[in-house]
Amino acid sequence: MRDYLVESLLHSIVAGFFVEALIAVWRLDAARCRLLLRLVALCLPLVLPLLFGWLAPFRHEDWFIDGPALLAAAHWSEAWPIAPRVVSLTLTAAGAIGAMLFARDLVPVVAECAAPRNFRSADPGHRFADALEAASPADKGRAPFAIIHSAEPLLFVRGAFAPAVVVSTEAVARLDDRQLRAAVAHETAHVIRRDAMLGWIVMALRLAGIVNPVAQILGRAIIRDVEAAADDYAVEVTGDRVALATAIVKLTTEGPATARPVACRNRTLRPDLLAALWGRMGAAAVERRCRRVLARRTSAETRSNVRATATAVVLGTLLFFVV
Amino acid sequence: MRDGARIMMGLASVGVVTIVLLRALDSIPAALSAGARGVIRVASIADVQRRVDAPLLLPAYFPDTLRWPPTDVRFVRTPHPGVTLAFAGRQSGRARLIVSQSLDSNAAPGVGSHADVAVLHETSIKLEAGPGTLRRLESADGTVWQELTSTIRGRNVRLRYRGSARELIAIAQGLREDSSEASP
Repeated sequence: MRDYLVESLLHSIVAGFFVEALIAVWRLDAARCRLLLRLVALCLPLVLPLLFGWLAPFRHEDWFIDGPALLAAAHWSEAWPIAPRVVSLTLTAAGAIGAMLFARDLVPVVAECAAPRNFRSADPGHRFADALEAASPADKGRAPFAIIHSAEPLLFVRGAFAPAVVVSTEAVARLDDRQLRAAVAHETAHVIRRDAMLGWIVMALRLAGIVNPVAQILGRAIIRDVEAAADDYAVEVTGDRVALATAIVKLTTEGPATARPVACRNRTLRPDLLAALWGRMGAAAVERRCRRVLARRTSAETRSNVRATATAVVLGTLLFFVV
Repeated sequence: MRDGARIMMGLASVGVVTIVLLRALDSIPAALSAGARGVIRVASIADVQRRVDAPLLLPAYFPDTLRWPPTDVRFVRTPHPGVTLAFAGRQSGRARLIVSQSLDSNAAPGVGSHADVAVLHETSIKLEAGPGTLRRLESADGTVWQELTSTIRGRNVRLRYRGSARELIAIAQGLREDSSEASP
């Protein structure tokens, strides 16, 4: 188990570096393509150590470690008498950081699911229906939706197997026509691409690599890519970058009509300093996302599958020599 | 076509950089412990005997001028396993006796070579265990060493000693297999 953890962590570091370097070298702006590459970097280190251990047990023999291996953890752990203890400490620290990163993303989801909500259904307004109609591809028809009566400006996709766009009356009221079209187009992209399912798959992979902080960081980056890909779709469909950016700001930084802003919610649960840091990080993420929406050049997703497949093959081959 | 070439170029360049970085990272432990790739340092004779799963030849005769236990214990596993023990002097703390031995009769003895020394004199000698070669060496820093190479109990052995040739021969004659780490 310890050997698997060491190898998986090493593979994740190498895979993370390899994929991020490729993204930079290829100057990949298309979020969908980046997402696929990062999925490769997330999946391979979880699977390959087991697969290689089963198919090629000779990788852990001395001749391989001291011969063709490109990087052998054994060389580090055997270099100094205290090295095995350092490796154990590093693994423990990595495990703690990985579990914290996973919990940081899992706890809000669980809390959201567990929170009692008194949503009441509301009639779909014609503005929302028109926006959904415009955002949905002609051949697939209008995406399923649900409108709820709530004082919170909510707009999200619910359901992994049968995804539907959920919007609150407050969100419809708060966004103007252009913003509503852009925001609904963003959510429609999630429905079309079944991103909710992908999100759960990524969470499952992160759970499998819970003690691996690199896997957790890659998992978070994938979710950011999912959002960016949906932004790209919305910009493509509506052609209105400003409307999408302002809708993002309105929905993510402004809270319920009768309550404090979203960024301030739940602060009572955390010490002030942590809450301030949390709020600042959230605001910075929104700002980055808006900047990307406003600045993104229109670049086609060229050969995403070819890139991902070629990356998986080359990276898999490289990782074979990392033991 | 142009896209395909760009994809291949990107993969190749990142692949090469990754390979170079991995190799560099892998050679750091050996560089820090002043050894070659694959040379492993351990804390004690017991450790190395456990790792190589074989008893070592240890000197039964051990001059008072040397300090026990060895200050440096190294071994290599591939291509041919070998062990090197370095013993410091009681006064200086610098290495005075280096015992290298192969664990495979076809292999050179342990870690190290003649690359860093000049051979001043060489003569053949006869030990109880068989023939051997006695050399007088000068290292790059001007230190003069006596070196004795021979095959003792099926192992190729090389001893280097900063002291008299007579003492070195006595040490070589006293090499015995020993699985314990007790001081001789």
